[in-house]
Amino acid sequence: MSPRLLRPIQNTHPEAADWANRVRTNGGSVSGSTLVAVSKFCRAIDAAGIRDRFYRLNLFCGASDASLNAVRTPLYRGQSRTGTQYGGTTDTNTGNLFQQADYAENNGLLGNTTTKWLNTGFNMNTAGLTVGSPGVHMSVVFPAYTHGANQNTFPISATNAAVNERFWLNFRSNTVPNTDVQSVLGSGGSSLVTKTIAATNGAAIPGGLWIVSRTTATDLKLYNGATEQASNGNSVAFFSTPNNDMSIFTRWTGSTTFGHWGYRMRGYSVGLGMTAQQVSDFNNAMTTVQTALGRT
Amino acid sequence: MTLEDVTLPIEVEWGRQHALLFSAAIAGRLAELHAEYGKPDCTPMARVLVDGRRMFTADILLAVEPGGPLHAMWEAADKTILLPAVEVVPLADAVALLPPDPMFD
Repeated sequence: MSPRLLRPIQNTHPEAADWANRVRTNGGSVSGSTLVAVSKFCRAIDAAGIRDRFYRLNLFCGASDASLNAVRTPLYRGQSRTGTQYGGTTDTNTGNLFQQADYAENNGLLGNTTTKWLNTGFNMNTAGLTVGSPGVHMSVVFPAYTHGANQNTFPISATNAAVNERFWLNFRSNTVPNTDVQSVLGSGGSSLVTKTIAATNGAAIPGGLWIVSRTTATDLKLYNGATEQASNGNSVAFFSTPNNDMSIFTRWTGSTTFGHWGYRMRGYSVGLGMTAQQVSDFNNAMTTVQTALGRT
Repeated sequence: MTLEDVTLPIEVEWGRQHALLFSAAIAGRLAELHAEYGKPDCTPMARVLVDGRRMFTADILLAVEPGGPLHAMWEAADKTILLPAVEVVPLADAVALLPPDPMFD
């Protein structure tokens, strides 16, 4: 009998297998079904030709444990598995510490409005991301939720405390009354994108992928799923990208946090700017993997 | 009410609805303990309230249970000093003392 017949068929994508190995190294574990879902996600990203758009991506999946070891292990840490890797090997559980009770694989990771956040250790400036072509994107994935009143929140953010650099997705409500989503990926002022959700102080926020992408200094777009929500063609000031670590579930200034996002998150990404077609392809892959993980 | 009055393990929802308040000196001692006994990828960082006190939500007490990321640190702490020095209050009382979040245009 040929020894080849005794070898298991290797269907796991190399990056999914690598992720599972890193999870185990970190003390966590991954079920077979999760590994299959992540593997299919990796193949979809490859097939769409958008793998190089991602410098860091975490699907917040894997088995639950007291330290959330799997959940905090990013799937992607660079533009390829073998190239330069950026940021921490895990997303550091920071602030109040996410607890095991805050996570369910079929529902994602639950924040609070006061204290919990993840420090990615990812520095956009060191990684060489710029606001000019090929630009930069940031994204988060979450289920639909109702945004509370008077909440200025940042599910994903990178910034410097001293200068007007705004790399974030900002979900906010106030007494105008208004609830909106705002981003800029650069400086503020005339180059913002803003999507008004409702003329109320707090409102239902549609779930799914929320992604802001700047492909050039004059092309900024905000999407929910594959649908464009807002755009801005004004020229952004060419501030350098931030030197502070990118934070998840809050805005980290380098010394303090505010704007904690107290809802459930199912993934994030950061990397190069994406065209509408690339966003659509990413959304398809993300939607498929979320469904495969049992997240409805 | 102080941490002396709390029986471990806590219930998750109780932990989410209460806050732990303590002084900068206690925060400094906890940071020392974490440096010695903690895991580098689990870094407690309390919010600073407008009156200078530090705050965690009380569900962080789940992490001191056996197997939790703060268990070794908790075991090493001098409970006779720590427990009476940590005030336990309803979360809303602590939230009222958080610095306001700035808005951006």
